[in-house]
Amino acid sequence: MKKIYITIFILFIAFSGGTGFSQENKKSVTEMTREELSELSYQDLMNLSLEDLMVVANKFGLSADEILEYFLNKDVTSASKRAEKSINSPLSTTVLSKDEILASGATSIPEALRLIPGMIIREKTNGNYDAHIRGNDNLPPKNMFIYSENSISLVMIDGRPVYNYAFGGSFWETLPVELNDIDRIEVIRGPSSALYGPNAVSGVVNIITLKPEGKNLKTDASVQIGNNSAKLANASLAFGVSDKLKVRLSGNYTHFNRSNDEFYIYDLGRNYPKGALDTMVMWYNPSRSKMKVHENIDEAIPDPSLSLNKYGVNAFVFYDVTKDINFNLSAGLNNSSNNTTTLGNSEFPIAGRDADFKYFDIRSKIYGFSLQANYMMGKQDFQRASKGWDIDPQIANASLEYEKSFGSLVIRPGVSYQSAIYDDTKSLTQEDIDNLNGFLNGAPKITNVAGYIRGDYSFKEKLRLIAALRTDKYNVPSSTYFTYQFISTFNINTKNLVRAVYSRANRGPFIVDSYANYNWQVVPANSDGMAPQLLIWNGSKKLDLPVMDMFELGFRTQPFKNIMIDIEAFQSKTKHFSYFMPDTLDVTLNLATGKAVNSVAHIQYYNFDLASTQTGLTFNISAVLAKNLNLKVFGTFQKTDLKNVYPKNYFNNLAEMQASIPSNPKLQQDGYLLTIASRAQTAQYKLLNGLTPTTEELQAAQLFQTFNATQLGRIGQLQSQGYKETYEVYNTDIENDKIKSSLLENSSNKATPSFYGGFSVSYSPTPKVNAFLSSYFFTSNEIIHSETDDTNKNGYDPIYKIDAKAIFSMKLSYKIYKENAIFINCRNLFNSTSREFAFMDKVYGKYLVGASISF
Amino acid sequence: MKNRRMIITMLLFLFVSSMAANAQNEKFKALFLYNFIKNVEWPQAYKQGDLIIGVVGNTPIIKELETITGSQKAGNQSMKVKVFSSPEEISNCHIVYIAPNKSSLIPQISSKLNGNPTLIISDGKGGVQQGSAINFLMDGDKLKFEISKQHIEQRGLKVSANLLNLGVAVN
Repeated sequence: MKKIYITIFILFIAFSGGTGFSQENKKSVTEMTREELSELSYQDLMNLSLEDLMVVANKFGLSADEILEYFLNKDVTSASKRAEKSINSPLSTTVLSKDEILASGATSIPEALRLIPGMIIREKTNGNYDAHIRGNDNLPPKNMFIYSENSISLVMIDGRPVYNYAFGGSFWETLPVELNDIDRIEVIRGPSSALYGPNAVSGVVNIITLKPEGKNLKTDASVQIGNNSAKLANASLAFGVSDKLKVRLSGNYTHFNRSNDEFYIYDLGRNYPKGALDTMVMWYNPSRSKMKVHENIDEAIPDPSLSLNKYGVNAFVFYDVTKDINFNLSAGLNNSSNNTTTLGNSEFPIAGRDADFKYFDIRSKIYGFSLQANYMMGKQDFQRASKGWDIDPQIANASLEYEKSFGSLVIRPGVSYQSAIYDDTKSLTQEDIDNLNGFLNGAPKITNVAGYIRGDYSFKEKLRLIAALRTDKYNVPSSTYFTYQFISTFNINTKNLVRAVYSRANRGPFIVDSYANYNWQVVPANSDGMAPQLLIWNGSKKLDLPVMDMFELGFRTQPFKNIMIDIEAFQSKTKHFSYFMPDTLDVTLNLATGKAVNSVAHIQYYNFDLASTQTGLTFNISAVLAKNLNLKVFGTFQKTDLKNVYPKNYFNNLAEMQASIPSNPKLQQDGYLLTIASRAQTAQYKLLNGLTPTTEELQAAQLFQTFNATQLGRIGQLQSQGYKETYEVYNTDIENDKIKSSLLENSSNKATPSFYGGFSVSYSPTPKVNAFLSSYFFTSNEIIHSETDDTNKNGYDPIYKIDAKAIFSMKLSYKIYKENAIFINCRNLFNSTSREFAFMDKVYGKYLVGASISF
Repeated sequence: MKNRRMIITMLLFLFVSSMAANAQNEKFKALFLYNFIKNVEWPQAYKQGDLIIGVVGNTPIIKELETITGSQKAGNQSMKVKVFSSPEEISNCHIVYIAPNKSSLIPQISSKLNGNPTLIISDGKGGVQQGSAINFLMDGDKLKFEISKQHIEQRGLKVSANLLNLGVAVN
């Protein structure tokens, strides 16, 4: 916390002196930036010719046509990697501008995504979000939380992937930039790995940061405070060292507390205070009834009321050498702590996470060449105080592309390299590593070398054909993936465009799925010897990577000058899901007592035949009703059908394997030998003591005399082992490394709402006042989770239902002087408290007041 | 409880909306007007004494014009701003600016000043059609002006080609 204040303070001291930023009025007004023009004095203005004066007067405003163009038809760079108008964008793309983000009052990047069609945004704990593009949530079902969060979309900052390669997903709290750094956010819906690389399966969120406009010193700062200890602050300084060299420095800080400080215990179906967790034993769980709910809760969750605390500091340097040569450098750090969804198994669904990252990113354009290289490293504890979850990433990316035009054909070939190392050894002792107490117990690496080419051909400004082809060669699995995007657009006229996309994308490999090498010793031991005391967890380097194929048809129309309608219909099919499954159980029995004394489960990652087919339609209507009144309405209808769903979870697998122990042939044979030996012994004893053996005992005595040396040897061996022997049983649902197809079922995936969308209205009654009202809504949805809810213990289907919800938010801002404003910001205005994510906190309204300065 | 919160929000909204006006455009209108003077030539007899800018209606442009006329000259002539509340009061002006809320008076003022070398400037839709020579109009946030060569020249004024080019021609 201190760090950020110190940094911001130093930045201000260093640069607010203002020396060296003198006005250069020798430039013509057309060459001057808005900032430079705003510095002109009245005398300067009176000396201008009418022609120049008109330029100055109108630099600050937009003509009616320009207003329409600005709101309805923003520039996007999505498919062509060059700016083009939204109406011409060949992909399903939405651009959220800086002005819209700031006016909306969104308190974070994922919350701002609620203004974009096709996004499913669920708030987990206050200020912590899960964001899905189009859905495919909770696959495979009946699983841990980690599979409920999105791991098939790619988030990038200025083209740098910010992805969690350990086990997938985007951790929004770990982004170094905040809304104040953003020029625009572009969201591309649909598989796009041919254009953007692995993990762009359901889509891409590309965050594009600001570039300073002028050379003059510009300072922006904003603070907000609100209920649940909400504190948001950011500041930035931008200046030009020369016309060619510009710098922007920024810092951001966010703090939210949870709406309560209790923890839900799955098996009890209600909340308990933190103090109860390390005093209360799990009396409700027969096999673990002497264990505490959480041993070291103070270390795991020191502050139960905390939801999110994070800061980031960034520096951006822009050096435009000539029109054709430029270099951009950004570097920064971020630190976050939050209490949000647990990723693994736990008795309660909330876990503490920490992250501390540093990064740098270099981008350069030299004539037709585009070069980008970046590196990110740091510490990341995915689940505090749980051994193995503290895994430190080191991620490097490099790419080189070249663009060349041949008439109406633009070709852009490129190559890229990516390496992701995750190292858990730093948080482990040598003993831990030797005992395989970490997930990885090492620093495994996934690498990816890719080659790609994109061709963009226009025919008479009517027809446009884009083909993007890419091959990715991974080290693990050691195979090559070929992905593609074929896109065509046809301009019926300047106001109507139809387009079609056929594409395939794949997710990249995950470190944990590939390299898990983990012995999970259950401490203290389960009192029931049948329950696994040790889980041996192994990754697989042979997993097929998830792949999505999609066909999409789109239509964009501007029926009136002030209305744009965008409709996209899509069908996608996703397959090759993978997750872990117990395949073997070694149970050690005491044959003298018939009780289990130890149990070891072997768990490995497998591919599943599961296939998800999603069919849907998204609409987005934007209207400029007046220059000061804009309206947007959007929504997505979708249906997801699942084929080959495996109806069991890993608890079911373990229970079935335990139940199969008595029928284990080796155990039956040993049992037979010992029973006969024991009865024969009784018969002998009775005969020696003048008693009459039973018929059964006499038969056993006769049989025992027929035992051969092997049988007698086995009995001797068991005797010498104190009658303790280990029996191995297998998960009989697996056959040739696959689940038997006869066990698979078809169903529909209700985890993605069948309808979700929103609307927004922006109204400025005067240039100083803006009111932005927005709403986000989704229909009810269900997550099928591996943890059972006490109210819903129905064996194979522990369903957690999320009710339909509509959230209204409003920001009212008033510019006191120039761009300096005060505002009231209400997120979830009517305090609709229902949960948005399974087992997480109730979501309460955020009511904030704030001020922003800009000079 | 929820209703009350909503009402408070709405009241705040109304309160905030009712505040504030934007003087930026008035400043530029005044600066434009100053430039019109530079681009219009009055008959010889009117090139002496003060250059009078008449304003009909109470409008923030008056303050802006006074700032300009306080420090600038039109050629050798000093400039003065005169404010009129009705057409009857208008006399001996080089320029008459009619505020938007007095647009209905354009025909009356135009006929009253028939034969006088006065540049009539209006501010609102259809101003030129009603008789003014130059009319301010907003295209979105952009300040533009319509100009009628005919209406200028029929009052014995000369206008530069540059000014005609920069305006939207209306005849």
